[in-house]
Amino acid sequence: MSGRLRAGGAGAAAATAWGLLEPVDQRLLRCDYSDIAVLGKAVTRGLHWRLSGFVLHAANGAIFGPAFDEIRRRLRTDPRRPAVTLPLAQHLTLYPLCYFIDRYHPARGELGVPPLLRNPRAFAQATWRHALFGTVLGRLAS
Amino acid sequence: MLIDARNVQRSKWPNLRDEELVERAHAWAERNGKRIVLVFDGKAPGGVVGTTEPDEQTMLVGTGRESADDWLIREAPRYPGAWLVTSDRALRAAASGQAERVIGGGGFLRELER
Repeated sequence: MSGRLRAGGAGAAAATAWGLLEPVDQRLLRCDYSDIAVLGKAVTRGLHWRLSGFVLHAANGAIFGPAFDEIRRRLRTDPRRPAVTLPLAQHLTLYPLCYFIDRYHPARGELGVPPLLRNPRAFAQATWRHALFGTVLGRLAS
Repeated sequence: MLIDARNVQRSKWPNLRDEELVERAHAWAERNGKRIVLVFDGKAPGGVVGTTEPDEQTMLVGTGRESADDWLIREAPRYPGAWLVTSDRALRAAASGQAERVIGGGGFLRELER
């Protein structure tokens, strides 16, 4: 299997693990924020929002994986290090875009889509999820 | 005024507590001479499933197993000229035909805080 394909599969698997483990941090931090809900409820409000959310999230991971693979080849370091730092860097860079979710998401205020930008618990959840994603990606893609 | 209560509560972080929303909405209704129907998914404050009217201006609805969205879509035609409060675009699309005016959850909360 080519490195890029393997990295894509690893990214999709890591993103799926992220989605499956969301209930754990939701319970620990008592905040219903869910990336699966944010994605799924953006495209459908019917019974299939969860499935749609998982598919979109796995697709995101499948795109991120090969990009990570390319960067780790160039860096020639322990692949597990960029696997964690890259998703975290992306998270810190893009988190301000939550403004648009808070303002324009079609299901804002519904379960899984609380206010995000000024929500420290949601920020902590997103940080943990990106770290988890990176750890799983690093292990599967190496 | 028909209010999607959970949606309004989640329009702010930290989320507004059930009792706090009821108090503030009641005070607002008194000030403005409006009648409010607060619709909660599951149980309304006090463990209410079904409807209760704690005073002349307030009706609390706990929808039990039915979603508040479904309740609002079904019941909205019984309140002609009512305003609908929600930021949920699907609910707005389904019920706004019956509502005279639609207000977002966050906008309504700011109104309550004035």
